[in-house]
Amino acid sequence: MTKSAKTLMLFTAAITAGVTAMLWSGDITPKTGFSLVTEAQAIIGRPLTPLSYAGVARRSVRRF
Amino acid sequence: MLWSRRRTLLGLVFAISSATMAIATIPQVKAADGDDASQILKAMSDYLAAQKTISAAFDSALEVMTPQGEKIQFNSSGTLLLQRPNEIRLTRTGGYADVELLFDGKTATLYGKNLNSYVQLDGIGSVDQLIDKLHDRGMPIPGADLLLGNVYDTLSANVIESKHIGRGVINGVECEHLAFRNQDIDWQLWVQVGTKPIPCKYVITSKAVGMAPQYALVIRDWKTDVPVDQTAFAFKPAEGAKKVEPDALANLDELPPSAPAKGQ
Repeated sequence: MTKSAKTLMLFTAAITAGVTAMLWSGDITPKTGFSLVTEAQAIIGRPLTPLSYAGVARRSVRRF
Repeated sequence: MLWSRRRTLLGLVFAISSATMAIATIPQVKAADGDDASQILKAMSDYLAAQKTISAAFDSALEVMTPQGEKIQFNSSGTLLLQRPNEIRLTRTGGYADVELLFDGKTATLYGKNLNSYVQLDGIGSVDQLIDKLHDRGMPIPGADLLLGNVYDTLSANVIESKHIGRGVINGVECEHLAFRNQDIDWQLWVQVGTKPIPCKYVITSKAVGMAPQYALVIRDWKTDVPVDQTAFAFKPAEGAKKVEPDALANLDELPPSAPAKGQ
C-alpha cells in the first residue's frame, strides 16, 4: 500500500468516526413498553398524557 | 493573474445577463385585483347549494393551548355523504373517538363505534338544525359552516375585511386563496379554480385566544351527483350496541376531555 493510499484511508476513517460521533444521540437504552396492541387502538378515548386546556380553537365562524 | 481576473469578470457579467434574460422571459401573471373574494365565495356557495348529493373525505386539525402555553394539535380524518335537503352521513376517526353520524331527515343518530353506544336525537327538521343542536351539545360537525344551506350568508355575516390573496395548490389542485377578517377570528378558504368552485381547505384562526390556535380542514375526493343508496342514512345498530343519554356525547368529540389543571 502506498503512503498516499494509507493517508487517504486514515482520513476517511477519521471523517466517518467524526460524523458518527456528531449524529449519535448518546442514548443506547433499549425502548421499553413493547406491546402487541397497536397504540392507535390502545389510546382511543384516553390520552396517554392528560392535558388541560387554557384555550381551544373555534371550529366555526359563527358564534353560537 | 490579470488574465484570470478578466476571466472571472467576464463570467460574472455573463451570469448576470443570463439571469436577467431568464427573469425577463418568465410570463408575468397579472396580479389579481384582490377585491373579488366575496364573488368567489358566492360562486362556491351557489355551486354547493346546486349539488343534490356531495361526497367527500376530510382531514382536520384542531389546536388547543395548555395553561403552560404549549400548543397541541389533535388530528382526525373522516368522510361525508350529503343528500339535499335533509340527509347526511358523516364519519370521523381520531385518536380518541371513532364516530358515525347519520341523519335521515327525522332521526339523528350519533354512534360511538369505539364505545359501541349511540345517542339519538329527535325533533330535528334539517341539516342546519342538526349542526346547531350538535354544536350546542359540544360536538361540532367538522366543516359544519360549509354544509349549511346558505354558505355565503353564514360565512360573510360578520366579515370586516376580505382579500383575494392569490392562488395556492391543495393536494395538487389549484385553488383561489381567500382571506377574511372577523372581530375575534380570521379565516381562510381555498376554492378550486375553474367551473367547479369547491372548497379544498378551510382554516379558522382564533386570534382572541392566547397564541391564536387554529382549526384546519382539508377536503379531498369531492364528488357530486353520486348514486346514493337510500339505506346509507339509516342507522343499523351493531350487535350489543346500547342507546345512551345525549350527555354521553361529550366523549365523542375530536378533543379528549380536558384534565383538571395542575394544582387545582
